Amino acid sequence: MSGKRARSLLSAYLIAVFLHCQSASANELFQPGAYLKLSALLSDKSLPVQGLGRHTLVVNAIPLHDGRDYPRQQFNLHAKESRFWVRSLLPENFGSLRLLLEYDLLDSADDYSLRLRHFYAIRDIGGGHSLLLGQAYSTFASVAALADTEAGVALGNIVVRQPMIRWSWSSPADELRWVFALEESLSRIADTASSGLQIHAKDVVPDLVLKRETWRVWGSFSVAAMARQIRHEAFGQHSQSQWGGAVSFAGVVNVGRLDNIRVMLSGGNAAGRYIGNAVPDAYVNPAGNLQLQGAYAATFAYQHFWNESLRSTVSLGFSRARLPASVPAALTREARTANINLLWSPTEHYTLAAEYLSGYRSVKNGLQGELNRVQLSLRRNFQ
Amino acid sequence: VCFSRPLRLILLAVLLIQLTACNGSDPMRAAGSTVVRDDQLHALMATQVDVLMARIQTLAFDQNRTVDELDQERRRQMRQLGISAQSLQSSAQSVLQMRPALVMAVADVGKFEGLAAQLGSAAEQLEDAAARGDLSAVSELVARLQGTCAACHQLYRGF
Repeated sequence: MSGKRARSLLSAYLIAVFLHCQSASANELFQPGAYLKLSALLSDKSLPVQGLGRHTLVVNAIPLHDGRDYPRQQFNLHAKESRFWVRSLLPENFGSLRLLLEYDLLDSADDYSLRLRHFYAIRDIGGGHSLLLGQAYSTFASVAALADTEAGVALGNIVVRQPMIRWSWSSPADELRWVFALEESLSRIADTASSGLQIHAKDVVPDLVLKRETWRVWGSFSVAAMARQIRHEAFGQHSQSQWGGAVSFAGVVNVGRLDNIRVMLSGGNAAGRYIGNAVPDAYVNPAGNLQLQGAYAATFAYQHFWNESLRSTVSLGFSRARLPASVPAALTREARTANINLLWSPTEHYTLAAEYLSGYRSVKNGLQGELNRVQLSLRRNFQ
Repeated sequence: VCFSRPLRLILLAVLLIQLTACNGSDPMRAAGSTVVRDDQLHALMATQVDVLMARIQTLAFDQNRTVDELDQERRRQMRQLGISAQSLQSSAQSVLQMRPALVMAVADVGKFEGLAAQLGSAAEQLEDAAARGDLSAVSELVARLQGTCAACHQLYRGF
């Protein structure tokens, strides 16, 4: 049996277990949950080989006007955004320990194997202090400020998930929180030789993130600062490293009863892999030296509730990287997206969504490309 | 100058009283032509409770946050809801205290006092349920509270 087939069968088995536990709902220690999401996407054109770009927005999969004849009006139907999770409901005498394990099916474009999203334990240690250990959304991200879009993540939103140790302190009224984390360090390097980005996972110093979050009646605001050591090790050469940093501001402003504005602004000379899947952390120049460059991204989203079950989001996203002269011509310099959607949740178990996405990117040599996509989806919550 | 939340709300209520004092058709008029408008304060709090409840309910549609993060956000919103319920309780007490000054038919006095007491009781239970983080109890009590508001306004405010 091939590895892919085995993984798909394992996924199917685990899904069945999740759903069985859900229907039994008698487990006192662990509470399973899931949502199944079926998405239908119609794109005006596409790259012949684009991996997950067929299923969700991948900036580097936006076709360029480079004289090639790309397939037109590609239709795709998938359920890979479905999610499955288990969380603990441990007894009081076990202490205030919370566990969460969550998967989706976006591991690969070719099969339905599971991808780990979250796996962490949080322990409250008294006095408003708590400790998280495991894989979760990066502390650099502000999850409350993510735009409510259907066609993948809005450009400029930070959704990195990675292993970490995170300490946090909340004020007694829970209106203020300080968070400090040591997170997995990976360096994504662009060099002069290849148009792809190289991932270096042997970095020894974790990414350091400090964040302050505040909540008020009008909404919430957070500011995060990060320091990273970017490393590069070419075959047969000494490794080299440089320290860089990035900041991110995120806010949610309540407008009226349920409407809200969500904003995220991030940038720095080591913001790279956090702000987009097409942005390098650093570059290797022709002399072989590691070079940091600035990159920044922003998202602005307005969510309007037509009534309590019908809502829309208009979202604009932007990212830009300052590319050195020596890098390959095919590296993405700038990208923009616009999303507009209509989501209807007649009950808390069902959501029907329709979204239009317009994507744009330009690469270092000036070539540009666009993508227009319409996505329809049906989501069924089991929790 | 920093004011505490109840003081800010009282100041806001006084401002609203000033702005709406010219409305002469209100049946909640005190003897001797003094207009009593403490009702704005509890209307304000009831609206706040209603908005917070709606925000808690729409969190069920959020697909960005994990169930754990959504629970944290619910707890945070419920804490705010508890604060509003506490103010609403004090306000219900004030409404009861002002009753002797209101021009009201004898037959209405019992009903009015009963509804004010119901408001206070529902607000108190809501504060408790919010403190416990009991979402289903909170939903039920908010519905009961809204029913009491509507009944009282229908009888004595005409809307």
